[in-house]
Amino acid sequence: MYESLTCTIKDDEMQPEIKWARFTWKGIIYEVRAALDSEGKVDEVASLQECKDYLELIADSEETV
Amino acid sequence: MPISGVGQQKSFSDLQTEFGGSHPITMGEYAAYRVSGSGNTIDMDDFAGATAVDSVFQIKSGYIHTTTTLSGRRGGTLTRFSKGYNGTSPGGSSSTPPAGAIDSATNIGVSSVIGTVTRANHQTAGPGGTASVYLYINAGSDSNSGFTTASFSQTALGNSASLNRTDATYSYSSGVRQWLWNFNSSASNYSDWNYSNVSSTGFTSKIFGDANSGTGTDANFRTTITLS
Repeated sequence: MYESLTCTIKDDEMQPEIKWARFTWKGIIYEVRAALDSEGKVDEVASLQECKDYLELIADSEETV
Repeated sequence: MPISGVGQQKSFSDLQTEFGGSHPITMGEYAAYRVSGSGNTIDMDDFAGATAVDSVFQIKSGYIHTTTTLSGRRGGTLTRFSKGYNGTSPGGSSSTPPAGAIDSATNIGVSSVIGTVTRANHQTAGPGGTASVYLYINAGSDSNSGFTTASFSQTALGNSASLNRTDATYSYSSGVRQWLWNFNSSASNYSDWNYSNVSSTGFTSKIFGDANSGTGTDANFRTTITLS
């Protein structure tokens, strides 16, 4: 469902040591924390997965039980 | 209300009304609030458009609690709640809670104004009782910034908790900056926010509101939120 999703990596505006993965979905801009590798560098593949996982999470939370 | 514009009439009394203080007013007392100019020379037009920033606001919670009885092998009960200001339905068949109230929604910020608070609440998300805390500020511009920490206290119960902005997921839509903190029942700060658990009676927020059941609006402002 989220195959077309892309994200960009950006520094936090107040704390530049913090990295965000930024993406747009259905007209809403999102920023989730970027995934880091074992050396503390941004893992872009894992970060994109974080974005997809987040969209899954908010979709799941809207499900009826 | 912002100080009037460049070239328009403005007085020391206007500054005192906006920023507080008491007589006598001294030259330089309000220098830190200038939006232009610097140094010891102060022009009243340096205050044009200046606005007091409010970093503290209080919430009178609207709330809803619903309990669903589950059947089958995993039978039991599932409690959902939504408490705070302009919260939404916690899911399932729950309704939207009453809106609640805020004592001072405008000119919210830390060193400068971010905007107007449009939502501050705590609710459950999903059947597992994940806690979600929402803070929405209508700022008119997209920027994941403006504060470092949001500190919450339930003034009647003495409960408190803090959330870092960088631990939230940020989103932006139609001029509104939205911060959402999610933490599941295994998170270390889950008990800072919740009484009991999703499968027990009395499952509710430790931070927002007074009631632990039913639907309604609190009689008092109970939650103080401070941005820093």
